[in-house]
Amino acid sequence: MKRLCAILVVLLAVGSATDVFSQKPQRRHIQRAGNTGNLPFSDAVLAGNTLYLAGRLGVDETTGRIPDDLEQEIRNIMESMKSTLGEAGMSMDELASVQVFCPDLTLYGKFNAVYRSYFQKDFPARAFIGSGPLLRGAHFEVQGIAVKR
Amino acid sequence: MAKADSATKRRNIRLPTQGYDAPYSDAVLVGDTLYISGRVGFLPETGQPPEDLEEEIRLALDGVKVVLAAAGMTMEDLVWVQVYCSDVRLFDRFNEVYKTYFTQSLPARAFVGAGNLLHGAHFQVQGMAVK
Repeated sequence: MKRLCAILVVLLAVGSATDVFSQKPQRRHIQRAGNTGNLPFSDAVLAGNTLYLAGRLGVDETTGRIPDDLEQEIRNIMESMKSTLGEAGMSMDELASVQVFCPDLTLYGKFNAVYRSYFQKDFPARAFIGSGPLLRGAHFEVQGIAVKR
Repeated sequence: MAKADSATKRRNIRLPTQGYDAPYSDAVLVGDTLYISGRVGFLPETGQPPEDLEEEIRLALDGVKVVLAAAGMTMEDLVWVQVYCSDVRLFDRFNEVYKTYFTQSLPARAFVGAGNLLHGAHFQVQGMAVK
């Protein structure tokens, strides 16, 4: 009985940290401060060690518009991903899988030139997909999944 | 270790309503994570989306809900959603219906302008859920 109690105490301690009793990984919904417009999605959802990021457009967060400068649009996307990852205590190097949706595949090279500058060493797995026209006339929408190292 | 076993346990979910021998599962449950196939809102009788756009959206989302239920999950377990849309001008109309399917927190989501979708659908919805 004493031993059973000791085991229970240990289980309770572990349980409070990892929620083993409900078998649920810990979950956190992330809304970035710059997220306005009351749209029906979270900027990211952290479930256990995995962060699921919302699709991002390269809008200027002060005007809500896609900038004229294409490189700036791409940087806006990457910066907002970076800050979303930061909210979860993660960095770009923890991205594992990325999808880039792009209505104009001739922009592939331009996208890559900016994209690669956001990674230190290894790159995440990625798909680059020709899409239809995107919201707000964006040239890119980027979504990804990151896993904590 | 029991934990390692449960993390790799896998179940393929195929709804009885699938109706033909499609080469995909409606979802695959691996451990606590459910990978859900893309769903379009069409009427089984006609194989076409209904005239009413809101009904099409509801049919697609009801499909997601039924698949989740088959894995013992609800819409609240969704973490990651892709909406492929043949016409992004329908963004607001989609959102109006979409948000009624959630009571609390919303999954991360991408809303992507697509090319032509199967069945002439306006939307295809794909997602991942974690128990």
